[in-house]
Amino acid sequence: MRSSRFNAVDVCQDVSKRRSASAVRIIAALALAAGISACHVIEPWPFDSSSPVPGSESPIPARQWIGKYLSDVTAKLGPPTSVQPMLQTAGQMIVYSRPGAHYIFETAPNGKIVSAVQTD
Amino acid sequence: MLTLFKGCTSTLGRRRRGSVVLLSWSAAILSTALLMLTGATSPLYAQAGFAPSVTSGTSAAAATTTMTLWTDPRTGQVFTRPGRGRVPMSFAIVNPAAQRVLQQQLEDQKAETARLARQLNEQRTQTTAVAKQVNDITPAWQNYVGNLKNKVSVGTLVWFDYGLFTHTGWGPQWLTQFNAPGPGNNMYNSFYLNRAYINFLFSPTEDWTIRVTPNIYTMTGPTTNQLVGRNSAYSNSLIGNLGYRLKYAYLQYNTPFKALDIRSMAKDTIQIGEIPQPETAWEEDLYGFRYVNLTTWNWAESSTFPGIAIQGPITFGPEDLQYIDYNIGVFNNGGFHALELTNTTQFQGRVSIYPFGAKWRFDGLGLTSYYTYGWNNATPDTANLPAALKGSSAVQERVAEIVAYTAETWGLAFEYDWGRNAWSVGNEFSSSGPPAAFGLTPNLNAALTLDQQAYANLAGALLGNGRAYQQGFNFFGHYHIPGTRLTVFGWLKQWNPNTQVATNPFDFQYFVVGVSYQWNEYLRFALDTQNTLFYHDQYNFPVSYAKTFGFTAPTGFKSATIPDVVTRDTHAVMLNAEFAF
Repeated sequence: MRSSRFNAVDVCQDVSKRRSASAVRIIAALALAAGISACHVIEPWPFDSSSPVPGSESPIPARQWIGKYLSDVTAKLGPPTSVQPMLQTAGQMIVYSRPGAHYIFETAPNGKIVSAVQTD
Repeated sequence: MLTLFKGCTSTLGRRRRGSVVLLSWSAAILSTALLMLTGATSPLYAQAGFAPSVTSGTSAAAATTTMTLWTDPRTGQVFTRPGRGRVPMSFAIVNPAAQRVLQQQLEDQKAETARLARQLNEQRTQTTAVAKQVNDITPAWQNYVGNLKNKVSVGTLVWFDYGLFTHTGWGPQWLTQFNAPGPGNNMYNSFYLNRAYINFLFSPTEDWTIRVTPNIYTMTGPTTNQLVGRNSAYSNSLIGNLGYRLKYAYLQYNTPFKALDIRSMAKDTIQIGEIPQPETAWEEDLYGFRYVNLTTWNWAESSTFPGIAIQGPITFGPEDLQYIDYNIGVFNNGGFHALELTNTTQFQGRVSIYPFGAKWRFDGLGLTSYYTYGWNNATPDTANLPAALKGSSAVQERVAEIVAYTAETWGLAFEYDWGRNAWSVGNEFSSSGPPAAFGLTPNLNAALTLDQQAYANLAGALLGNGRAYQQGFNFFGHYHIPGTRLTVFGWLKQWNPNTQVATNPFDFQYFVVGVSYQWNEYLRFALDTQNTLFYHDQYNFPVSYAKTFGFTAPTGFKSATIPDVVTRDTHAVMLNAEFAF
């Protein structure tokens, strides 16, 4: 809500307006960064829907991943769809969601997989 | 040797020299020496045919017999009988008994030699084995490091962001270690380091884990310069520094129910120390974008408390599906960065029910209830003072009811919050607020200063009077765009800090909308907009109504209303980064 109760504040606001030109430049820079990011986004995900995971024509049973490390998973399945640090455990939750690889892993703090579920 | 003598006899016979046996001295001596050295294996029966003079020794030489022959020194001939010009020549001959003794000694020697040879071979074998063992021995430090590697984990979690505030206003923090100035500072921008965990975990056995996690915090403490001695002073340089403090430090018993052979609770643990409270960390994991913004109750209460809690999933069935996940504990009333002042302890509990069974932590439909009961952190002598309104020493309750559905690539949740004395002036203005709300004098003219003091007093009356009730509504979720590294996420919140006020100027809405980009398994970014909206129309708050909440007018304030009590909105564009390893 805009307020008119603090005149001194409005004076400051005028000063801010004089800085708006530089602000516009900052916004433009951010927009440029967003555009570059978008271009990067267009880059195909290593294993998108048109490229099944190598060597994973028949999905690996989830339980076989338990005890292995994230590096083992990425070596076999490629980059994960998403990785989220788990604040409760200091481990990670790793999601694979693409043809041939639908898994949700949870790791211990040392990176060892303690839970593996196949979701397709 | 016998053959030799027989041969000599035969030769002599052919030469018709009678009993004379001609042997060279050298041959005789050699034969004798050989006989003595090697030991004859058969008696010298041929001696009888020569009829030499034979005598037996009596002492040490009893084992030998002396045979005497005669020789003519001139010719070197040897004879079996004495005669003219002949001189006797004696030889020691070992007798059969002695031969047997010698034979036995020889056999013994051979056996000893064989034994020694075997011993030598065994020794060689043992030496080889020992050498192999020595080669196979793992150095102690390697063994130590190998064991340590499996028992120790060191990781980090860093959140870093840039915020551009197109519009600035007073209000609550969106992230910890995150402050922005209030009205009049549009286009303020800053880089922020919100978190820098060092996660250290040590599991000496399967049963126990120790976690120690230091984290940064922004020092904004007292700025008073310090007098040192009678005539010196140090300038204060704390403000703005990022210091480290302990975020987590606890001992976790990993197998209390496993030890009791309760399979459905085999993964449940007990924590004691400075531990996560039951709701915030859990909800942050459910949301998944804590590096962008705080979850609701974390705006008002610490995520970590000293205390003890039991937690974990309860699973049933052959697939061990999770039907319940809980966390229940007792804690200090003060958080992890406050001195505990009360003589009471607060209870906190969360129970999440997954009616259809969850294959993984948040799988499918989840219904969660969170409840806390405690007191504001005040010493007993303060809390026990008679007062119409308990204010900062009042009972405190929090409730959250969350319905969430989480799938592989998306999640959606609704949360209803209810609180009692669970939102303070400090919470309302945790990012920045009017100086008067913090006991400071603003750099404004006298009239505006007085207005601001009245406004600050109104905040104290409405938010911290000991009978304030809070209410909140939240929607949050995310959706991963297939075939890309992008996930769209958002949080929409309405917060009413005191529902007892007819039109509370401190009510606000907050929303964040953004897109997250997964760079690799360790790094992700988010571009988002965050906004705090004080959504009521501007108005003047009646002093008479304010006094029903314990409002006290500042000295010199004569107006019947407090002017323009709805503060300005805050809008920002943010770029957030998360690094986890």
